[in-house]
Amino acid sequence: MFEQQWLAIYRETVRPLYGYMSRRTGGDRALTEDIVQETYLRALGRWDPKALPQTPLAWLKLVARNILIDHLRQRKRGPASVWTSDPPAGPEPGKDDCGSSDLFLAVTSLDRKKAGLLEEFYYDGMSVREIAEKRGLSEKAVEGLLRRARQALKARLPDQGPVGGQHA
Amino acid sequence: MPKTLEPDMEFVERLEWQLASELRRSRLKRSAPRIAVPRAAVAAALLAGILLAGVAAIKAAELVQDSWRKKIEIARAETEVRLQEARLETERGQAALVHERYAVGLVSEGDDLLATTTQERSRLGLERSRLDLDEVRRSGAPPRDELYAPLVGGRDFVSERLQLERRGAELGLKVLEARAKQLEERQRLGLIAPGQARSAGSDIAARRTRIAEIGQRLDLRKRFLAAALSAVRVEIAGRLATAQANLAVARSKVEDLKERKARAETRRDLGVASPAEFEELADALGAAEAELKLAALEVGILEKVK
Repeated sequence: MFEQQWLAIYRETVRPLYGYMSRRTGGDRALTEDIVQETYLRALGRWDPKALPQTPLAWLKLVARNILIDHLRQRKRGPASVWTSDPPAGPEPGKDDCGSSDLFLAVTSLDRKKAGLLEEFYYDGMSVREIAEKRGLSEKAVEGLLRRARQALKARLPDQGPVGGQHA
Repeated sequence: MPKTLEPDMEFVERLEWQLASELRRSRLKRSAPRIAVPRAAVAAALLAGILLAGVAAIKAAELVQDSWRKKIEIARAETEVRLQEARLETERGQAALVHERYAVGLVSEGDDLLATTTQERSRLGLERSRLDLDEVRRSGAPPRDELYAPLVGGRDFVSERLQLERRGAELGLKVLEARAKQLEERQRLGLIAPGQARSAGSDIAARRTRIAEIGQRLDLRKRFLAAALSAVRVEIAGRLATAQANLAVARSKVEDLKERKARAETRRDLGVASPAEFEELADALGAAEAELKLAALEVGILEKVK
């Protein structure tokens, strides 16, 4: 029974989780697959068989995001990494242009509110309206918050040109 | 949806298979039947554990105890060295004083020799106590005098002690010989009875026997270290050498006392010696004869087990 429940959750969440992670890895397929696999294996070890999480996708996304951040930080410090021995040479052809790992790391280094806003807008492809509805804010307020988040992000990045206001 | 945001079907299926396998494995692990272990086996294992813990605790306590024992032994040996140093200092002062008196004719040559010999003996005692301290520091145990005792840190303390003992005995012999010479001189001058000089000769013989015995023991020790003799053989041979020396000394003492008793008897009969003197010699002879019998018995037994 538990196994069936578990596999049902897997089938329901694997694609959204993969998409969520793929946007953040810059389309690196190998890295995305490694992180997704690791995320599910962690879930397997941590989820209580008698009380599976109410929102498993949220749990999975959070864990996957943390794994990715750890991995990128480790890769930045040195070559040692659990999964990929070498950083990807570049985005795969036809990838969704989500930016480099440096950019993602810079985003995650911002405060939680700004980072969440930028991720929703640039990585998850949500519109200003969708974000405003989700957060209970006006679209104008969201635009203002996005502007300030972009400025904060720009300050964290080396001089790479303007951070655009369009979806990535 | 862009292509890169969609996982490969192969990846999704492979991961599902992996997760299903893991889930099955964990279910089997949870539901694995417990292996029935007899209570006796559990009790035995517990007992073994307790015993092992006990052994470990005893071993630890022994180590602590050994450490303390070693410290105590070293402290004891160090105290002995200090005592011997103090004694030598006193004897040295005493010998210097006697020597000054001898120089101005206040004391005899024999007294001077005795003081010098006593000082030498103290020096030997100090050497012996330093030797013991060295051994205690190396072994952590009291010094061993057995002929079959092992070397300590490659050093033969047993032989070194025997050599010191021999030097001490030789010093004693020197004093006895000087005294005998003095007695002979007095006898020649008619100052003492002839028997007294003979008695001194008996003491010299006994001392020489002792020196020879030490030489035998040194030789036995050498043979033991060269693996020419087993520990049992060297122990028996060592005891036999001592017993034979005891026998020789006892025999000499008996002979001497018999002679002295005969002289005392004559003097008593002549009325120049008191009956008490005779009785005293008779008692001493009885004791010496008993010692002789005992020594002979010991030699006999050791000869049999040799």
